Parts: sequence; C-alpha cells; structure tokens
Amino acid sequence: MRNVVIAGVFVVVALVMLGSSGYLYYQYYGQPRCEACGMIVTSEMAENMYLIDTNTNQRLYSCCAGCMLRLAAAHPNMHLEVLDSWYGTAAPATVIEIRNGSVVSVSVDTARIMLGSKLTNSCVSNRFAINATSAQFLQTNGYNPSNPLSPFKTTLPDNTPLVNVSAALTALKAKGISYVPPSAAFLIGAATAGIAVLAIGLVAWKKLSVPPVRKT
Amino acid sequence: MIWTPLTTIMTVLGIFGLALMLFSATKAFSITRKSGHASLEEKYVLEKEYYLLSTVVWIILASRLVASGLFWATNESLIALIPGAMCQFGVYQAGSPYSWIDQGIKLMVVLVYGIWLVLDFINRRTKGSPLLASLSRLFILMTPLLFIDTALDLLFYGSLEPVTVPCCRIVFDQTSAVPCPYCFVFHDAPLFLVVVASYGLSIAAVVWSLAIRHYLKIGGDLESVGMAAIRRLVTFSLIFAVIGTIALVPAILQVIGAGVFVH
Repeated sequence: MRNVVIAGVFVVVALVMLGSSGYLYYQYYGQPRCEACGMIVTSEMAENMYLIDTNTNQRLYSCCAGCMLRLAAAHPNMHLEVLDSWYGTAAPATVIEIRNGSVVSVSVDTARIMLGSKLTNSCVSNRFAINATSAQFLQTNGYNPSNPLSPFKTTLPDNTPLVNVSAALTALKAKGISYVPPSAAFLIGAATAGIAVLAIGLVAWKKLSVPPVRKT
Repeated sequence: MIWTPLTTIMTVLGIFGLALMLFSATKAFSITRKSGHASLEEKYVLEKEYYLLSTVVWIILASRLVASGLFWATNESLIALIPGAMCQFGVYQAGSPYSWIDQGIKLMVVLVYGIWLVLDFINRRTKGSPLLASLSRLFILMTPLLFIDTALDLLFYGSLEPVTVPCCRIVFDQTSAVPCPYCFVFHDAPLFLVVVASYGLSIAAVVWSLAIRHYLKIGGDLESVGMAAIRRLVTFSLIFAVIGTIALVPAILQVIGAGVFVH
C-alpha cells in the first residue's frame, strides 16, 4: 500500500510538471506577442494597430506605437493603420506607409507619437495622438476611460516627448528588435549542468544504497 | 495589495503558517529543553507531545510547500495586472525588495523543509522515536527560515500595487550573456520548467538521503528503516535526473529552432 502511495505521489508530481509546461507552451503560442519586446498583445492592442508586412502579406503584432516602429528593423516594408489612443474608433485610423525602412506617407500630418518610454523605460507609457488636442488630453489624463480600446490604463510621465512619425522611426528602428535567442554557450552550460545532475544521481544511487561502513 | 483568488490564498496560507509556527516553536523549545534529563515516564509524555508537534509541523511545512508552488503560479497570473510587466520580472519589480528575497527563499525551502519531513518520516517508523530531540532542535533552527518565508509572502503580496514597471528587456538586452530567466523558462521554452523542477527534486532527494545517513550511526531500528528510505530516495533522485535529461534534449532543440519564437 505504501509503495502505491509513493508511486502515486511520484506520478502526480510528474503530471503537474508536464501539465504546467504544456499549459505555458499553449499560452505562449496561443497568444500573439509583440515582436519587438515580447509583451502579450491583448485584443485591445491588436485592434489599435493593424500592421502588415507588405513583402509577405503577414499580419504583425506590436504592443505600442513605439514597438510598432521598431518592427521596421525586421520588416522594412510595412503598411500600418493606427487608432488614436484618446479617440479610439471615434476618429479615423492613421495610415502610415513604410518603404525600405523609411516613412513614405502618413495620412494625418498632425499625427504624433508620445514616447513616454524614453522616461519610464516601459511600453505602457507610449501613445499615438492624431493631433495636439488628443496629445494634450492624453498628457493630462493618461488614457480615455470612455475609449474601450485603451490598451494601457496608466498615467503618462510629465513632459512626455512628442515626436512625429518620421523622426520617431529613425531612432526606434535603430533600437530594433530586442529579443536575442540564448547563446550557444548558454545552451552548452545547460547541457553540462544536466550531465552533472545525472552523474550525481547515478553516483548517489550506487554509493548511498550501501549501508555506511562502521569504524572498528 | 492586488486581490485575486491566488493572492488571497497566498495571504491566507501566510497568516495560517505564522499562527501555527508560533504554537509549534514554543512546543519544540519545551521538548528540547526537557528531553535531555527526562526519566522514562517523562520521555513517554514527551513522545506524546512530540507526536502532536510533528503533526502540526507536517501541516505547516506541507502548506509552505504548496505556497512555494503557488508562488510562481500567482506571480505568473499577476503579469497582466502590472502595467509594463511582460513576465514575472515585472511583477518582482513592482513588489521589490520583498519579492526578490522571497524568490530566493522559495528556491531553497523544498530542500530545507524536506530534510525535516524525511527525518520525521523515518522517526515515526522507528521504535522509541530516536530522533525526537534532534527533530525538535532542527525545527527550532528552521523557525527563522519559516518565519522569513511566511512573512515575506505577506509583505510582498501586501505591498504589491499596479505601478508602471520597465520591461525585462531593459536589463536583459542584446549585450546580456543570459536571456531573461523568467521569459526563458516560463514562456520561450517552457520545457525547461520540467528540466529545472526535475533536476531540483533530484538534487534535493540526494541531500535528504545524506541527512538520513548522518543519523544512521544511532543504530538500532533506525539503520534498517533509514537505509530503506535512502534506497527509495536515491532511486527517485535517479528517476528525476533521467526525466530532467529526457526533457532537456527537446528543450534545447526548441531553443535552437528559435525561428518559431515571435519575439
């Protein structure tokens, strides 16, 4: 009976480990992520920005207006349709065309990107404003409670930089995609640690299973 | 405080642990003090008292081990509620400095609490409870860790507010030698979760075996019961090491095929 309980505990632990891993795997690949920073893209974020790589016709995802332009580092030809962060769907989307990594057209001349991330290091401080009035509202309130598509319900830092799309693109494209896959050295380190643990397990199994020799 | 079902459970487990710990620490202290010069009759009374203590400590340690597992699940669930957080790194920043210390403690509690639990397990199966005094002393020694572990949970979740935090990529940028460990283990290559947990349990089982072996010199029944426990533990250690290694291969292959990652 005791052996059955121990085996049962072992099976439960193994199932919990494999189950958590499977769930996280599903969660990760089941939800789009910002290609530039890795943040989970919610449905509100996805509805705020409709991004297409015109070379491949592939839909791209970004979490904020800053990351949207950072994508130009990996996708030099893009078609972007962006909603104003204050007015949401109450105002027409701004269409931005990027070719060879440069802005070729912006449908609304007065459109500005509010780069609060320059001050807070966080994408949640970035907004997109179609005019000075929207920018002023966003600076004062952070977000519009009446806009159901407000992706970040946070205030903005004082004096959030206001940059036009072309100027913002140059700096953000240079920043590029920040995700870097783990290096070979890191993976070799993980494999070495694995071999070491296996060796410890083997040695312990061989040596510790034998009763200790008593000194006479 | 951000109230969610999981943070509520963590808070309840914290208060529950603190209350039971206060009761058992005083009991353990009394047993340790009396056991050195107890007569045969007093030893019988102490043994009965010890069984009550042991049952309470099992409940405390089991609840703390559950809290250790829930700690990671709770932090994972809080990511969406902390503006700017994209992995657990953001949650820790929002709960700094308690979060970081709490995390460090959580990495070692299974190992330390496990030592007491396996020793008590073999003590219960041995005639005359030869480890009674040692286990009471060990519990008193463990009390500061138990207190810190429990108190930090309450401080961390109690102080957590939805403040704006910077993304982990600020720290783990292109120049970093290692990727963000939270993104890596929990999101990019979750098979590493199996690897880390299996290897951790494998090493813990070896340490617990060594702890039992340390007390085998007392002799008597303890030697046969202890050796049986050690054999089981080292077998588990080997099985977990093999599971970890089996999971490591596809985990590394998953990372090598990183083209599928979306960020």
